[in-house]
Amino acid sequence: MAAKSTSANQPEATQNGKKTAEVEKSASTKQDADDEAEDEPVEKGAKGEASKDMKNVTRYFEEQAERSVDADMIQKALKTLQEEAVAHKVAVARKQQIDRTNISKEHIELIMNELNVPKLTAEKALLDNNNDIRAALTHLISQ
Amino acid sequence: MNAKRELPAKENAIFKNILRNYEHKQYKKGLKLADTILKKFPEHGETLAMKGLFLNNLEKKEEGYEFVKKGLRYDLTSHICWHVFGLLYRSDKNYEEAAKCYTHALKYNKNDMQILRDFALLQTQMRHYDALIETRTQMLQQKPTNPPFWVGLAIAYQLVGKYDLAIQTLEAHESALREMPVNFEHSELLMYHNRLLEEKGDIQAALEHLNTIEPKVCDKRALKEKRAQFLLKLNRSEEAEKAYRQLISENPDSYAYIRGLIAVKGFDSGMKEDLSLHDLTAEQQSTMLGIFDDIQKDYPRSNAARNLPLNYAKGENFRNRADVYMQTALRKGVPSLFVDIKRLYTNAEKERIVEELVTGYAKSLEENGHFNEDGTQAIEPPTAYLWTLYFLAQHYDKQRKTDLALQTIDKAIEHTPTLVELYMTKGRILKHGGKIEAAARVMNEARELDLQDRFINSKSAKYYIRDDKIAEAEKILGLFTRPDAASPLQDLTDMQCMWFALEEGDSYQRQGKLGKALKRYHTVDKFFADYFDDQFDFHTYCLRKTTLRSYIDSLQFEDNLKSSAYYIRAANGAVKAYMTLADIPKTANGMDEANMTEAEKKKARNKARKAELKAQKDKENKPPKKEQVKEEAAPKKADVKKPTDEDPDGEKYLKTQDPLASALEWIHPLEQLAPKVIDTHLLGFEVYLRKGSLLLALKALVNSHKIDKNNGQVAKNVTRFKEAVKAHPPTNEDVKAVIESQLATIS
Repeated sequence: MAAKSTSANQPEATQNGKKTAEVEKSASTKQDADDEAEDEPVEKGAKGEASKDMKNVTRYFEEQAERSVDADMIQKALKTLQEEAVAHKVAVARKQQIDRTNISKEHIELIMNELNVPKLTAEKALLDNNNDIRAALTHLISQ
Repeated sequence: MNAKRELPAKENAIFKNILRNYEHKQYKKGLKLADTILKKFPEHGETLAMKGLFLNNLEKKEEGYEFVKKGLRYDLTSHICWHVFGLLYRSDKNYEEAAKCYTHALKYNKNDMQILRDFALLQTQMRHYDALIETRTQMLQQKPTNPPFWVGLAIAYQLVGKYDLAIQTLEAHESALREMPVNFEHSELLMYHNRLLEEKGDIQAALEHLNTIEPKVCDKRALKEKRAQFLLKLNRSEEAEKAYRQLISENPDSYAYIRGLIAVKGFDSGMKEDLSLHDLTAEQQSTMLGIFDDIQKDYPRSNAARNLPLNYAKGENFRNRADVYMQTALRKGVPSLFVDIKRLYTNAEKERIVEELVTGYAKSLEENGHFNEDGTQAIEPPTAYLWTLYFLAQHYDKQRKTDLALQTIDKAIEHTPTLVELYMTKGRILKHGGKIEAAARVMNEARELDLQDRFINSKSAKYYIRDDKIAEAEKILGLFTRPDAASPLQDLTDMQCMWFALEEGDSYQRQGKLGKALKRYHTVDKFFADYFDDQFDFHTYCLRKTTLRSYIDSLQFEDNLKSSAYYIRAANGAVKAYMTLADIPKTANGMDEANMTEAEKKKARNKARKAELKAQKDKENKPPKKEQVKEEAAPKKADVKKPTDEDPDGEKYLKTQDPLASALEWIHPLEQLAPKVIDTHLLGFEVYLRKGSLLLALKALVNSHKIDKNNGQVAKNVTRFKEAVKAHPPTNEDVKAVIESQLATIS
């Protein structure tokens, strides 16, 4: 673990960007929280071991105490965030949906061919311009 | 569970070891273990995939892909196989394909933290922010105890502009943090939180938040700057003034602080474009200059307080200030004085005053050693005269009075024949006068005065390139490139030396060597691609270190990378070269020998032979994958494997089937990122007109007209466009009508 976290602390531009991601595989909270501790110069020998263990013990208790206080709140926040993420996804999907009933297919194709734009852009341009092909084209040109 | 996937207990244990080997980068060991499993179970997909991954990391990319694909074929529903496939693509920087692989992998194991993590990095890199929210939420749900996950989600929300949710996420995270002593990471987190409030537009809330977090923030400077800005925005003038005065007292040379103070006093120049404030009433002017004078009195050493008022002062007031400012600099011998002053020349009156002053100095110094006739002070040092002549030569050069400039600089050289700057300026004057060869010669003289100076070395080389003496230039540059590099050219390419690639590209273009020219321009494009790729590691690193404000800045920087002047220059060159290619009528073998120089004919004859060689090489090297790697990837591969360049003449660019399409690849990023630069639309027009895309050409024309309707090229393009419409009238009535109505607006 010690080796892991030191290498993760360097932003060295790996040629394939892989190392960084791999290195932090399955880092648990405690490891993350302890990163800093690990950066500190480590005392050598048995004394060093002992003081390190001691530190871990205190930290462990602190964490325990703190977690129990906030657990409820965190759960609540997580639940809201989950709902928000779903809501966002739905909203994004809805934005992609367009009422195409009134748009002429020919017009869409004309715009796509002439101006080399994606279908969605063509459809939107037509919708925003009341299906008036000339207005839609003018709008896209002067953009 | 796939029956084939289950291994007996012993092999299963080995497989676990393999995974561990990979984590610890023990690729050779892992490869050996994989082979032991494969001996017994040659069709075990996941082991095959892992073997491929090891091979890929051991520089055997092609074999790697082969094994991973084989593994996938045996086990299509294994998340490990898909994950590994994605890793391979990612190491090739083929992010699109990698993302597809991750999507598959998540289908078969939707909660694998490692895959989610990698997927989030890819989505950030590809700017798929909407999808990133989903991934980040999932990661957080699984491990809410990991701080970077909270931050990651907040960033995702920020990037889609949902500040409320970003703030909400951060607040939940912060509330769970226990009280801790002041430390850098936490401080950055809080400042990031503050930035979200600011970006959301709630300045009042941001200011209050700033006050509450103050004891925990280490970056005191940023905090004070933000506070001053907020107070200014909220029109709390008194407090804002106090805040800016405090900042000025800490750094009286900061233009930003002084401008802030000016803005507090009601001269809001948008903080940057203060030249727009030229037109002040006399009263406003004196109030404003009074502010500067106060600062100058309090901080006599502040250069900013002396320099900035030159932008605003007018008439006699300007003359007096400029007089003092320039005399001090000339006495001291500040070589950059002209570069500093010339910005004022946008105002003709100021240009005239500066000229009067400096010609006066020159005359007076020559005659009696004083800046002015009424020389009551001590005699000026002899260098004052020298720097005055130097300034004056640059001044005349800017006005393109070449002869006068040359006379002046020669006088200076006579005075002090050993000053490198003088020769450099002489070279520059000659260049501006169109005497390219003489310019290069003088620049080389300058270089020989100081062989230790890399700057003058580069300048000299650049001037030789301008004179199309490439061999000479590369020899000179070679004095400073690494001695162990294959060639100066190779070293400068490795070092991403942008000016050099551009100058050589332009030179080859002048010489009609389009292949080489295109190769240089594409080298620049490659630099930009590399810059963009370089951000990848920071998507993880910055979250762990919570250097979030700089991280967001750098994301925005990367997004606009290609609006850089260097990229625009390269695009100009490349598109021009492709247009030349497109305009050459093609003969049967695709080459027009009639228009070729002798060298090119020879090249063309060599081409067939080279193509043959290349085909053979391709057969040997070809990775067995169905998706073609982007063309750009090819030269890099060559670089990594061997130092020699397989295609020094850029043949492959000449061979493009569709030069117009190749040109468009340069133009699209510009249309996205530099729509306000006229080159974008002028270049676009050239391509679209040749393609016969009338409406797109029209769009480019309208846009270029919008930017600068007096541009000579725009007027020419209007005529060309009309002729094109006449020659090939559009068949569609609506298109015709739109063209007519738009043309009416611009002609």
